[in-house]
Amino acid sequence: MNPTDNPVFSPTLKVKCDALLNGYTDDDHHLEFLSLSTSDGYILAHSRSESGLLNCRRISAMSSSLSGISIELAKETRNTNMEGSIIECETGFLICRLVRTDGIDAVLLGVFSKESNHGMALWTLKNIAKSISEFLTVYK
Amino acid sequence: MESTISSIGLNDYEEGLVQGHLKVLNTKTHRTWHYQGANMDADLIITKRPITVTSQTCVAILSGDVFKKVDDRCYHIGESLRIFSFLELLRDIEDNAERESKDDENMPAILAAEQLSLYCHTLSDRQSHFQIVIGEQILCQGYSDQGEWHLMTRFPKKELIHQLATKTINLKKSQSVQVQDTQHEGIHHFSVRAIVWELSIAYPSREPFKDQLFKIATWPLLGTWHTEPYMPRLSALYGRQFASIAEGAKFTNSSETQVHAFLTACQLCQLGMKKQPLPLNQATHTEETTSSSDNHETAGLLKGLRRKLGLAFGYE
Amino acid sequence: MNNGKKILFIGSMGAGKTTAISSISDDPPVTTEAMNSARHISDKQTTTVAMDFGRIYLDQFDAIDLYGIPGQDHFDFLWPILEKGALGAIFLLDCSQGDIPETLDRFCNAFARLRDNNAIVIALNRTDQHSVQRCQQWLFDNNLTLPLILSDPRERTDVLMLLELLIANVEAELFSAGETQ
Repeated sequence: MNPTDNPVFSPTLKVKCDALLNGYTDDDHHLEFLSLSTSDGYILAHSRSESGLLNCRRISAMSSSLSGISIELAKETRNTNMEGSIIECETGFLICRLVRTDGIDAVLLGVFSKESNHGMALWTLKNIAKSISEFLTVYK
Repeated sequence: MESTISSIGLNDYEEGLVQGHLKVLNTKTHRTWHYQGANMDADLIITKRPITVTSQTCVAILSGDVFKKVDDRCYHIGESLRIFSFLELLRDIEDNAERESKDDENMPAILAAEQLSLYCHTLSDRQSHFQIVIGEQILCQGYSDQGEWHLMTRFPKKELIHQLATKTINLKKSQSVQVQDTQHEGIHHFSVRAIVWELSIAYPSREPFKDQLFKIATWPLLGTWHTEPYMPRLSALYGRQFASIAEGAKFTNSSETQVHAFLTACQLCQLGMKKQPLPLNQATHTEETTSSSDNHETAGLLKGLRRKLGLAFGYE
Repeated sequence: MNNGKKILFIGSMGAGKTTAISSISDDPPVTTEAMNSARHISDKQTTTVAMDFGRIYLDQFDAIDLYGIPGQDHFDFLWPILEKGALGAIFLLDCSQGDIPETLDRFCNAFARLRDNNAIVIALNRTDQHSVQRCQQWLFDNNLTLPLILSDPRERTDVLMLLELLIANVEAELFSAGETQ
């Protein structure tokens, strides 16, 4: 077993989740990539990446680290219930969002092109997170 | 303690000078020194020319301008017999005598540590057992456990160390013994290396040692073996580079005897001791570079950290 | 306040890094814990996902920062980031977990700069004589002279001893460079 695979996710569930994420990226041409990881950095699922060059293992780990620091930063500034964080880049932006279900704490990362609108992207990712949460709850 | 001084070939003025100095200096020395006049039978003889004396007698020759120690028994104290040279002479004689008496005291401990270390190092059969006996009495049983030699004994550590340090021991192979665990009342188990370490540190050799450059390949098990405040620094220094005893003493603000004892302990505990001759110019082995401001800042931070946390080493 | 120097706490998940920092930090340490989904590796409820951060204040101007790395391999991208500027590392090794030589290899290679400067203190927890021997043998085989000490990360006095050894090493380096105090 690859040590970075998560024992929480069965192969069947992973295939279904991959397909789910691919569906979202296929439907929204501004949404370039999606990854779902456990809050402690294991890959759960990811969409195809156009270039095929993304290291999904590292991205999963980095997403969880970002979430971890974001939660603490929010607490430190007296803000509660951190929901997500945004990274702005010249070529686009990344949004990280927490996905909480029974049994799994997960982090959803969306990579958006620069043509995307911030508000739309936030709304899109929020809905995807909700769908994934429902999917995982039902699947369980 | 009383000690005697006599003279050979001194004139009246010089003899008067000696007596006058003693009146002042006897409050500044550990012993009380008595001047006996001209004769050959004293602890210290002051003379103008080299003379032949017994091995226990010290000789001080009025020669040259300054105090100079030729060896442990022979000195030059300057023709003018200055009081400070005289004081230095008496103190050095007293220190030597104290050292020599401790040498005799520490000899059984030194021998015991060496014997134990050598015996275990040369025992190739890790299944074998041995005993340490004093006369007919078995002090402890030795056995190997997971590659490390241990001693099983009824004596607590302090008592075991005392026995090893004060008696003549013999080591001999024995039949296999049943190793009783520490739950068994009154049975203690100690690592041989821990005992050798503690013996070597507590009872250092005071023989003059040849200073060389030393380096160790393995740190001692500090915290498990007996640990003194200066040991982390000594281990760090000799673990990373060759250094002399003088450098070790300077770095840790401890005595050269303590550093020598530490290095002896490292050697006897098989910590991969290596030696090199001192450089010819006898200069300090460490680089004489101007310290950078970064280094200075770091040193200051570390000092602050030690102070804040109350860590062992203090060398203000 | 001036920027302080840094001491790193490294080791596998569950070795006690967060605990060790907590035992000596002046401020309650910042931790980045998330639910541990790999209970087959370590039976802890949570695990560090970014870093732990603590601080020891020396005076009103100076402080020493304490950083704990996340121990799992998939967070190794953070290790060089956290290593920058570190005076040294305290390597906590739980001898009841995993393969000791393999763990020693992994972390000593990952922090090679500190290893090569003798600036790693190896602290063994849940150990026995055999584990101590294996560690000593590994050090010998790899020609390394690093301090090895038995220690419980929950005990403040034990963690202070680890700091003592680390400080001694840095001081030895400074002494070699001609900085004496």
